[in-house]
Amino acid sequence: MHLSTAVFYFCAALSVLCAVRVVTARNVFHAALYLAMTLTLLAVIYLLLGAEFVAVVQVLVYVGAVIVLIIFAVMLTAQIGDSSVAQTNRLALPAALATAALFLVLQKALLSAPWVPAASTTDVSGAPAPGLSNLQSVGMTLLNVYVYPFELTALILFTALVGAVLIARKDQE
Amino acid sequence: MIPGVPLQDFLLLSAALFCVGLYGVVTRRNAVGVLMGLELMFNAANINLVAFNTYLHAGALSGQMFTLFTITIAAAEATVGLALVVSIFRARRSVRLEHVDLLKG
Repeated sequence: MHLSTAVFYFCAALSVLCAVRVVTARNVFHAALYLAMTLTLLAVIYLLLGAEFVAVVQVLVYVGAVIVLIIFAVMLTAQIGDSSVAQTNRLALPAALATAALFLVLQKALLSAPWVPAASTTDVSGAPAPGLSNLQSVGMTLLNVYVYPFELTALILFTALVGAVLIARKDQE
Repeated sequence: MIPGVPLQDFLLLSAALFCVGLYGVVTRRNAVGVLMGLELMFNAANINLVAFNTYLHAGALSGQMFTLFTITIAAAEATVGLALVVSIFRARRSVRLEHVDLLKG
């Protein structure tokens, strides 16, 4: 068996296990740490898929920023380690059955669907020149084909920043 | 492309993560826990996009671009969501979602 095959199945199994712990852990702080583990394992899978830049962004933005933000929110709001109260509501059993059924339906659908590769990739406008590294081609594509969405993203981030500060600040009076 | 791994295995991983995340969103009492479930669902979609890019449309970068934008939007969503959680905690002294019922008829 090829090494990357083994690494993929190991990371996939471990990430699903950690994801289950994210939604079942009684301590919210532990759940956040399990989420960090899941996201790091997914970054490994992106690396295996040849998407190096996405893997780096996953570690930087998710594990570096979003997890820290979540842990801050846990520390600001919840009593850490307060697992005396049940963490799930009374929908737990019906929700487990419904999501299991959804997974079975999805599995049946995606195993029976014919996945046909795109006939030609040369007609993609602005496709990166061959021979560039992943980072180079991502940069070229981002600032050529996707330059307007890229600029729009800056606006969205700015709006989210201002909105978050406005929502979370204390009232002046 | 990973030798020996069919595209379907990535899609199965993604479906599993999505369902686990959905379970978390529906059942968590803690608002932060609900947000963590949402992040899991975002990541399930991202795996799909990158796997489709590599397996079905190699040579173009559309899937990876979509993933980058999704990560950005997810970060913005987490920022605003957690600010809302902090604000709700300040007003109601609780992050339990069943205590946030002012709009319930």
